[in-house]
Amino acid sequence: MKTKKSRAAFGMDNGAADEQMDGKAVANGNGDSTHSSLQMAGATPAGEGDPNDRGMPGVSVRGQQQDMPDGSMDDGKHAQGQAMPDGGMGGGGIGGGSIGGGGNSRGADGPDGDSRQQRTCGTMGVHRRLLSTDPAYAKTRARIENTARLYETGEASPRRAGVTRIPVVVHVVWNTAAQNVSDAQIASQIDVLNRDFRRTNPDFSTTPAPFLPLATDARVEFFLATTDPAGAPTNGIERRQTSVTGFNDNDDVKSHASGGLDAWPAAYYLNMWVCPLSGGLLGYAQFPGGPAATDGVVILQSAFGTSGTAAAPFNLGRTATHEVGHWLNLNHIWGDDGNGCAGTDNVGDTPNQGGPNTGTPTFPHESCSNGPNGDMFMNYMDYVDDRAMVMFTAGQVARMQACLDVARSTIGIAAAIAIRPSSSPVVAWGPNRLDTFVLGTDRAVYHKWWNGSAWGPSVTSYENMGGVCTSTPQAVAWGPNRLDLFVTGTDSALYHKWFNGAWGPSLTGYENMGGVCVGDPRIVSWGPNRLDVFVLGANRALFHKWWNGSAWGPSLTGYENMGGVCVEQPEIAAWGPNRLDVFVIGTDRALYHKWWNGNAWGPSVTGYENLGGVCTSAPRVVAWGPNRLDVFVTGTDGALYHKWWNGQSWGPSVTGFERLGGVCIGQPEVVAWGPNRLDVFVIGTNGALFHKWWDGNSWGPSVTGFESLGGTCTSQPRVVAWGPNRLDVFVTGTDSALYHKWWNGNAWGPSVTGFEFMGGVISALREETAPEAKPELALDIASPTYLQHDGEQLQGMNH
Amino acid sequence: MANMEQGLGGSWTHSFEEDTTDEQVFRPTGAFSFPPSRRPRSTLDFSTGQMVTAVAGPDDKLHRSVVPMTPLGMQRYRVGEGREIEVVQAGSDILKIRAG
Repeated sequence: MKTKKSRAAFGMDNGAADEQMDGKAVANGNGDSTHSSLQMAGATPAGEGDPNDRGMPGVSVRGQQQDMPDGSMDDGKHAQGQAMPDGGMGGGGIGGGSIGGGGNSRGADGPDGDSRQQRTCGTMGVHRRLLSTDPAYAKTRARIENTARLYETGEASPRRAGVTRIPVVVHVVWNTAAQNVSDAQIASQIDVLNRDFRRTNPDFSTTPAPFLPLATDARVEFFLATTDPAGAPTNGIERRQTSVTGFNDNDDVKSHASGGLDAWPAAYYLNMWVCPLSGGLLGYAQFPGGPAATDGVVILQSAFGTSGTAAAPFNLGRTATHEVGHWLNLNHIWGDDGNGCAGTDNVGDTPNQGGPNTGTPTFPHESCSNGPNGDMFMNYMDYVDDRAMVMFTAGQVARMQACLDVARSTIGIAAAIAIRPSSSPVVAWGPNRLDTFVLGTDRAVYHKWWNGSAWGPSVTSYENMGGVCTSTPQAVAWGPNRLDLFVTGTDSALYHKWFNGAWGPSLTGYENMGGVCVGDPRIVSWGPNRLDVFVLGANRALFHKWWNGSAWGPSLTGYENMGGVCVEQPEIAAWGPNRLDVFVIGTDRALYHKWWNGNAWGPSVTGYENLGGVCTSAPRVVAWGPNRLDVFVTGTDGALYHKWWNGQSWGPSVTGFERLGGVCIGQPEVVAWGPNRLDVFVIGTNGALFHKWWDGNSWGPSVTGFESLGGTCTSQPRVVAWGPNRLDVFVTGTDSALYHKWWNGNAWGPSVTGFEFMGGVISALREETAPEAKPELALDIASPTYLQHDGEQLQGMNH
Repeated sequence: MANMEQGLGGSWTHSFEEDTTDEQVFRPTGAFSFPPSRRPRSTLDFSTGQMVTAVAGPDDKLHRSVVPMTPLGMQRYRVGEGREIEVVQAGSDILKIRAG
C-alpha cells in the first residue's frame, strides 16, 4: 500500500478464540429434525432422482449437457481478442446563481402585473418562504444553483451517466366519475414525458432552425412504480374519490386528511397528483429541496395525458412536462419578472424574454430586444399551448442534471428501492452510511462504520461482535438503520444477528440457524423485512431459507434443497420484489442459473439453466434495473468475462460471454450506482486493484482495458455504492490491515492509487472456499499471490 | 362603488389574447367564454372598486392580490398607490384600457 504507514498499537484480546458462537449450544449440523426432507448434508443426496433436475453436473438425473469443450470461454460477438499478457492490466486514466428557484419576481407594466406593494392576499411562494425561514433549504438551494452553474459552464460534469429512470406514482383524486382518469390516460402521460425528456417527441421537428442546435435530450425517463414504499408490487397508481369539488394550490390534494392522497417517499418517487383544480389552474409544482410530504407535481385532470378527459389546447400532456421541469429545478423561461426584461431563468442559452407567451405564437416573436430570433416560446417552460412547446435547451438539461445530482440524488437509483445488492462484508443502508464487517485473527466478527461524518469506533479501531466464524461475514440491509449479518460457526452451522437500532440477539450473540454449510452464505433482500439466504451443503448442493417478515421458512433451522453440485459460492440477485436469480458454478465449471418468479422456481426447484463457459471464479452479479442482470466471471485465461440478461434474452448469447480482458486474481467485484452503470473491480497479478466501468454506452477505459488503482491487495475488493456516482472500495493489504479508497463523483480519494489505512489485522474479507471444495477447483482463488499471512505472526484486532 | 363611472359596473376579466402593444382587452367575467390558458387572468371589478391581479408564481401557483381602484375622472383610475389606467373603450362586451 502506498499510503499511511503508521499503525495504532495492537494487542486486543477478546479471549474468545476457543469458544463456539457466543457460547451457545452448537447445532449438530442437521438443523431442525422435523424437516428431514429439507436437511442439508447427511440427508438424501441433492437432486438425486429428481425428474425436474436437468442441469447441474454431479447429480444423477440431468438434462442435456451443454458444457463447453475445453479451452477458454466463448468470447461472444463482442470479443476483441485483446488478451493481455501476464503481469498487469492496461492502464488508463479515468475519463473522466443565485439562490432560489423562482427567478426574480418584480412588478410588471400594466394593470395586472404590479403586486409589489399592494399584495393583500397573495400567497408567498413556498420556496421563497422556506428560503427565508429554513437555513437547510437555503443551503440546498445554493448547492443546486452552484452545481448547475458548474455543469452549464462545463467546469464540472453531471455525475449520472446514461439515462435516469424515475419511478412515478400517480395519485388520482376525483370528485366526479369522469375525473377518475383511466389507466390508459395515465399511460399516455408517461409516454409524453418519456418523449419530451428524451427529445423523441414527434413535433421536435417544428423547432425553429436557429434554436434547433440548442434542443437537448434531458436523459430522464419515467415509469409507473412497480414497488410501493412497503416493497409490495404496485401498478404505480392509487385512487381516491373526494368530496372536494376543486382543489386549489394550497396542497390539500397532497394529504389524505384534507381530501387528497398522501405522498410516497419523495426520495424515491416522483409524486404526481391528478385532480380537479379550481380557478383555471392547470397545474403546479414544488421545487427541489422542499418538504417531502408535498414534493411532486399537481395536474388538472383535463390537462393530463393525451386521451380520456384531456381537452384542447392542453391535451398533449405538456402541462406535466412543464411541471416536472419545475420539479427538476427549471424556472420559467421569461424569468418570472412579469413582463420585464431583468428577470432570469438562470440558464445561459435561453434568450432574454419579456413576459410569458400564450397560445401558439408565430416565430419569431421578439421582446427585450432579443431579435432576430426573439423569444424561445417553443420551450417547455413558457406558457404556450401544448402543441406549441417542443424543447428543452442544453442549459436547462445541465440544470436538471444538477438537480438530480444534488437535491434528488436518490431518485431513479433503482438500488434504493427494489433492487438491493446481494450480501457483502460491506453494506450501506442509506446515503453516506457504510458498515464493514471483518474477521479478526481470533475469527470474531469486527465492525466499523461511517456515519456520514466520521468512522466509528474510530478510523483504525473496531467494534468486537463476538463469535468464532468460519466464513466471511455477509451483511444485507433491507431498510434504513437495519442490518442482518450472517456467518458460519465452527460447527459449520449458519448464524445470524441483526441491527435495528441495537444488536440482536445481543452485541456478541448469534441466532443459530442450523445446517452444515460450506463456504460463505449469500443473502439478498427483495423488499423490506424480507431475507433469502442461500448456502451450500456438505454435499455441495444449494440450500435456501427465507425470512418472510414474521418467521423463517421452511423453519428456523431447516432448509429448502435446491439441488445441484456447486464448486463455487452461489451468487444471488433480486431485480424486483419477489424475484430472485441464483447463479452457481457446476462441476464442469459452467455457469448455471435458476430463478424465482414470484410463484415458482425455474427451470424447476432443483433444476438449473446452463449458461455455458468455463469459469475459474465464483460469479458476481448485479442488477441495475428491473429485469436486468449482468454477470461477471473469470475464464481459464484469467480474463474477465461478462454476460447479461436484457429482459428478453441473454447476451451475447445463452452460453456466450463478452471478453473484457485482464488477468484477474480471484473473484471480480461489481456494483451499479445507477441505471445502465457498472463498475467492475478486480485484482491483477501484481496485486494491484484495477477498475473498469460501463457508462451506458461503452466500456471504460476500453473494452479490455483497466484503470490501475494501485495497492498490493491480499483480498478481493469489496465495493459499495451508497449513492449516485459514489464508490467505496475496501481491501486488505500485505499487513492484513483494512484499506479504503473512494470515488466521490469527481476523483478518487485519497488519490488515484492511494488508500486510507483503517487498521486491524483481518483474517477474512474475501470469499471463503471450504477445504472440501479445493480439490475440485481448476483455479484456487486462494492462490499464493492471494494469501496474506506470509508467516507473519497475526496479531489481535486493533480495538 | 357608487362613484364608479356609469357603464363600467361589474367584473371584467383580462382577455390577454386580444391585447395590443398599447391596450389591454377585458371581457365580461361571467358572460365571455375565455379559452383555457396557463397564464392566469386578472380581473377589474368596478362594482367593488377593486382590481384582482393574478400572476403565476415560479412554481405555477397562483398569486393573487387585491388593490383598490380610485376613480380620477375622465375615465381614469388610480390603481393601488402609484399607477393609473385609462379606459379607452367601454362597451357591453368589451373594455379596453391603457396603462397611464
